[in-house]
Amino acid sequence: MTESSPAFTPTDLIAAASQVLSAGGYHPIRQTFPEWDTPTSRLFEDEYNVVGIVVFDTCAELLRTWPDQQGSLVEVISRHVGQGESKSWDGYLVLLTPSLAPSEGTEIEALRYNTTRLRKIVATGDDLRTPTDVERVVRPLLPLGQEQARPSQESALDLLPKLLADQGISKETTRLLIEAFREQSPLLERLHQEGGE
Amino acid sequence: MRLVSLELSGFRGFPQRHSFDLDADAVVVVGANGHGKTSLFDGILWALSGRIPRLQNDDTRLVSMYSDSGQARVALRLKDPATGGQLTVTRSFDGREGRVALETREGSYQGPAAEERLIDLVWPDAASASDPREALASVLTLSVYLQQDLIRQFVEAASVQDRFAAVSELVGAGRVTELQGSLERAKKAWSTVTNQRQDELRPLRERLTVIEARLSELTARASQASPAITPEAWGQWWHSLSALGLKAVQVEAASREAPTAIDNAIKQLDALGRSAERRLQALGATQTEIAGLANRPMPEIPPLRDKVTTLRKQLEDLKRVVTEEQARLAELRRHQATLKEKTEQLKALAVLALKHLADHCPVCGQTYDKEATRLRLEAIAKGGVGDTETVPGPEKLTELLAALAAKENEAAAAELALRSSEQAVNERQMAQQTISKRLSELGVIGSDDESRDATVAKAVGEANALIGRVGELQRIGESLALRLAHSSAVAAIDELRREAATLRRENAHREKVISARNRTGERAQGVIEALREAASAVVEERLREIAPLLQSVYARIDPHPAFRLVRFFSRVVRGKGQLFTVVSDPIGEKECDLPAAVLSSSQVNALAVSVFLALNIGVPKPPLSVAILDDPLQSLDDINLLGLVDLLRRTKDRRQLFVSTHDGRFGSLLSRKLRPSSQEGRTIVIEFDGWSRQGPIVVTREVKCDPVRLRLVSSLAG
Repeated sequence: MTESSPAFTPTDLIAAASQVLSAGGYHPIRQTFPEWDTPTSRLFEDEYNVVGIVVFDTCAELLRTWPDQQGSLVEVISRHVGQGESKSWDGYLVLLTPSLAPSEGTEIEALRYNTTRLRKIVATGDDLRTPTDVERVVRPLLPLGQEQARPSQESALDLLPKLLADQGISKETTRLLIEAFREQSPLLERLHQEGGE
Repeated sequence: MRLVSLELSGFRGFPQRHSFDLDADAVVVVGANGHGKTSLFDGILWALSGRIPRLQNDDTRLVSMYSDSGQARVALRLKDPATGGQLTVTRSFDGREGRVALETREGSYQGPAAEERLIDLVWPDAASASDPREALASVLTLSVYLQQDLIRQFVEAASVQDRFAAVSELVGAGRVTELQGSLERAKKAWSTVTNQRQDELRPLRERLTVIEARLSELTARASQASPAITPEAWGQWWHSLSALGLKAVQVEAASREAPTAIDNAIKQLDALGRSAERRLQALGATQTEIAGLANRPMPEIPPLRDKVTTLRKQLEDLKRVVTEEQARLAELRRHQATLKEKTEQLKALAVLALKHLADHCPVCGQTYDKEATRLRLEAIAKGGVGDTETVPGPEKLTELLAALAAKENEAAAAELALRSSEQAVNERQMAQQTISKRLSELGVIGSDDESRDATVAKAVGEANALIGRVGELQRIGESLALRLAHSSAVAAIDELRREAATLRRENAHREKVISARNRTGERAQGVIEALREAASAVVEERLREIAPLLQSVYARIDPHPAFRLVRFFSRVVRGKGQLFTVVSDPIGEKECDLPAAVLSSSQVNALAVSVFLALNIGVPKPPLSVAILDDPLQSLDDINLLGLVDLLRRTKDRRQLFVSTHDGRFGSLLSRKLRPSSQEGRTIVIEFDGWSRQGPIVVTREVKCDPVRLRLVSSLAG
């Protein structure tokens, strides 16, 4: 197994993931559960989900130990969430490693598609090259409001004076044309009058 | 704006009236295919826009075949969460005619007013569209109602131009495109009118050219013009006309009537001259006739008559002599005939006697000289013995007839001479009468021949003088007319100069107007070009604003292990915007603007839903805070399905969510995942359990939220 130099340390990853989830409205579970007691792991909860994050030094370790981590998280959920509650179905296991593992790519991908017991979100150093990549990886767990675009509330027509001014059309001319267009008045006549003709 | 309730009757899969409570954060519709899920969502689309583009906007397809009333009717209630205001739009179609009504807090609207108000409330941006309802339907289809049949159309089937147009409409750039289109049409119409104006200028220019040519010609002629008419010369000429007895009406030389007046006067002069010439000709002919009459000899009639009388008497006498001679000759011919008959008889007797000659006379019995008798009889038989006598012949008659003919000729000649003389006398008398009459007609009267000849000679002289005078006055008049024409030409030059100046001013004005119109057209073209760029810029700007959201949404499903990034790419080619959905592999540094080429069918579905939700959530002014997805979970593998369901759960926090599925297991998953997060939230599940000709069997239930919001947190706290 050959591994390239990782961009992040496990600590970086657990910190980044914790920050993103907390910012996304998740509550970190500070106290440890006996079932979930790993140094490089965190447990979060919001109104919908229970999320366990585990960071591994290597891909090999991840592939080797993820079933244990899954079992631990399932145990926590089944112990503390009633079986009739919907949240008992909404456990997510986030498995992260900073290591690059092209040779384990297929297994990692297979793990990503493994939906038994819990949905697994898996990322290796191949996916985690910048700090924002952590947010991208855990984004499926975040509310939409966190990254919702904030588009301009101006109508497209209202944008035109500035846009056309960049192409040499005076703002006043554009405003008059838009006004005529909205009033369904003859456009060229308005333009003609505006030109002092 | 959120949906509150929906009532359907006679509409597609709902033959009978069904009411649905939609006042929830999430509504999960579960039912097998054909049980009415799509009809339910179509009812919402139709109520809002009156269109279902997927059905080619054919309203006749909306009426359920099992409808008792034959009418499709949909009533949709909406509310504005910010104000609490509600409105109900009711739309119906009876197979022939559609109706729409809108109830709001402000009042009720019907027909076009309802449509207008509805657009104003739901999607004001569409109000300035050429077809507001179509624009609204387009926007709803693209960003509010993801239809099962069209789920992949946007990213897979639509052309890059159609995709650009659809997104343009959604992000408001459709108005920019329409402004551009309106401006292009307006400019075309403007150019047409400008060209018409240009064409209308041509006759004016041609008229100006003609006038300038005429002006040039007249100006050249005017430089060679005769001196002006003096009032004295003008008046004297007219006075001379009066002196000749002409009734010409004199006008001022400078007046406009002068050319006509002088023309009339010259015509009168000409008539007078012709009359004088005819009189002169008549007088001349009469003079000739008088002279000829005088030279003709006067025959003596009486001697001729005496001679004729004498000759006639002589002729009568001679005719009588001839008659007598002719009678005599006739008598002589009768006598000779008698003698000849007697001779013949004697010859016959002589022949008989010779035949019977004997010694004695048979009659008297006497003897006779037989020989002598025989000789005698033979002579008689030969015709040589008879009572012939010599009579005078017709020579005398011939002579008489010759004399008679000569006399007749002589008499005829004499009579001819007499008649000729008498005719000559008559003719002379008639000529005299004719001459007298003609002279009388000409007004020439003489008491005798001598005085008559003098009078005629005088009249001839007067006629000659009049002709000469008339000719002179004609020449003067024509000279005056010519000078008058020159004067008129000068006036015409002035008039033409004024007209040319007016035309030049008019031409200059019109050229200025046309030039101004052309400048306006050029400015409009500049704006059009700028708008083309601007439409693209608006789309790009809006898409740039939406891009992070699109990526976020796509990443939540994360359908492909390599192509994990997605973005819109727009450009303008030959004035037409194009929009591509580009997926890329950031690690492998690969990129593809045709997602179907690198994504599986399931992955394309996931991308399509991502695009829809990005547009739904990212649109600046959504028509409705609603996302309707009709069976979006088809053909999705497990991981994509779970990703999408998690995404829908998060979407529920931003939009009133409607999701349908044909799969009961997915329905359970959706109802669980889309459960309310608190007591304030509400999730409804509408289940269609079978379908009959009365419509679907509808079961509605509510999904409860978890009893404890944060179970782990609370357990630790406890």
